[in-house]
Amino acid sequence: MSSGSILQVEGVHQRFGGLLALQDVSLSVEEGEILGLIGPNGAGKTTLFNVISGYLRPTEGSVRFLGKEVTGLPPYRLAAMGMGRTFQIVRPFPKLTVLENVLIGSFLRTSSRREAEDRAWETLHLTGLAPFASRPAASLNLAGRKRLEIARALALNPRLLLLDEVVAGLNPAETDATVKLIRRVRDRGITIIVVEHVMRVIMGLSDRVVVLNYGRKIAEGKPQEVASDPAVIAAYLGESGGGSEGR
Amino acid sequence: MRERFKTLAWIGAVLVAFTLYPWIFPTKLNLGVVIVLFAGMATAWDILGGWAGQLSLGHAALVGIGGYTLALLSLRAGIPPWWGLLAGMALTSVVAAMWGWIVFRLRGPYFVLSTIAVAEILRLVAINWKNLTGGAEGLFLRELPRPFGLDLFDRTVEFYLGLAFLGIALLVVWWLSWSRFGYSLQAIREDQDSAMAMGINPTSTKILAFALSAALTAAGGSLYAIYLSFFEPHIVLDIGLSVELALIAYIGGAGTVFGPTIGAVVLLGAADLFRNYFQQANLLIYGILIILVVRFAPEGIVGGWHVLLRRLTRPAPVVPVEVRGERP
Repeated sequence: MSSGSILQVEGVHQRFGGLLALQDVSLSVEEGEILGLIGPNGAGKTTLFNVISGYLRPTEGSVRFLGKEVTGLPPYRLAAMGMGRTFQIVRPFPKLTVLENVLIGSFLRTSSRREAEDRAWETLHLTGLAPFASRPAASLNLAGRKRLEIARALALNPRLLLLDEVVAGLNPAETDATVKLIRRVRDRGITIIVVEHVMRVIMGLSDRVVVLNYGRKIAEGKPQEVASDPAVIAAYLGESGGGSEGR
Repeated sequence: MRERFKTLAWIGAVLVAFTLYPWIFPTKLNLGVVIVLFAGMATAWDILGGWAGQLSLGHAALVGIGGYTLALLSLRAGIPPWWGLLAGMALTSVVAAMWGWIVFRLRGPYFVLSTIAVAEILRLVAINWKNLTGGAEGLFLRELPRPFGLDLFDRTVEFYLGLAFLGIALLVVWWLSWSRFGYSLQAIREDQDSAMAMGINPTSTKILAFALSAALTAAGGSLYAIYLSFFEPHIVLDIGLSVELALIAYIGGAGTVFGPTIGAVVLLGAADLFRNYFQQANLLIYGILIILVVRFAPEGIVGGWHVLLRRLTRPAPVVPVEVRGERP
């Protein structure tokens, strides 16, 4: 593995009863890159996220983050080490305001209310949520709630950010705004792994793409290479090719 | 930031209003003592039940440990009650930490059941370990020392001690309302998995909340024991007491600074009022109040008040978010 690698996943197997959700998956993420993680429904993308972020302990294999063995560490330890994540099914704290949601994230790095609030506002401005700061999170629409998921994770001041389908379900304008935001986040030096179904987005955004199918890694490389890989076309885009414009 | 000092000013106003109680209702001092003590204990319960969202139906155990510690130290060893109160607080926070360490592996209804079980075990121990606790016959605090010449069995003295206790409990939840620890509790209540992604360790945070809640509840229990002066396991360790603390908090508004205090005034005040009219049927009022609150203000009186305010001030609550990228 290269020296600039921030995350290494090696030989991960994840078994749920009789189902092998991940099978010998290995990948490495370079500092500062955007890695796209794609694959058909049920390919194991979210499972892999859960393994990396500590929500699942892999049946076999190991995860190294920032050069340290972190397999089986609980999510809150990984968050403290600098790993932020969003959830595919958005789950902001519904009764709290938008500001308070982000505040909880920024409290990870400081116990001072004033500092945490300053950081939270900074994050709200970056993500365009500042006008909604005092609204309950439950009153936001889907685009707003997905934005809030990103904002909360950013408030943790992470080194690595795992984004699980943050544009799925958004209209084109909202999608473009989110893509711009993700780029801006990367420009701040944060490494990002994106899980996404919308091919246009993932191909345009990612420096590298990893393709999962039935829990196995079937391809890895630059977006163009992967898109023309016959195995990927067969598995992911369908035998006939084409029709790849997301959902 | 400003909000937080507004709340502090309100706490001051509530406490000042309460100091007038003995002058306004000189014949209702018993009720006054019970209201401030239960308001304080329900506020303490709410740290765990409302703020952290871990419904406990075992807090009577903590009231009991507080009361019994003070009484036993006083009766058996002649230790003055203020030391007894502190000892009770220390003991209950240790008990709660161990109790939490075991039961916080459980979520939802399993946690609730486990709190009932632990409290019931303590009640049975208190009934049967006669040498220590006096068993079902209970304990009688005949005399207590007089700090600064104050008679601790005087209802006015008890009222102001209880009020001081309520003031401390309110300050603790005020701190929760803006601090990192308070937000960690709310995050756990709202979504434990999400809270973990925010770097919050749910188990250790809940154990701390339980210990804090327990220490405060025990302080209330110690004062309650002095107020009762004669008490037995069926009074201070009964599940009915646990349920009552939870109801007071829920009806007033769980997870809010003033909810439990409002709940105590409304529930205990109403119960007293209706006791005069309906004698034994006064418990009906509890039932009716609960139904009314659940029907019209499922988030308690404080929650219902906020909904009402929002409706009056902002008629259109939902405006869709237009997401744009903005540079700070």
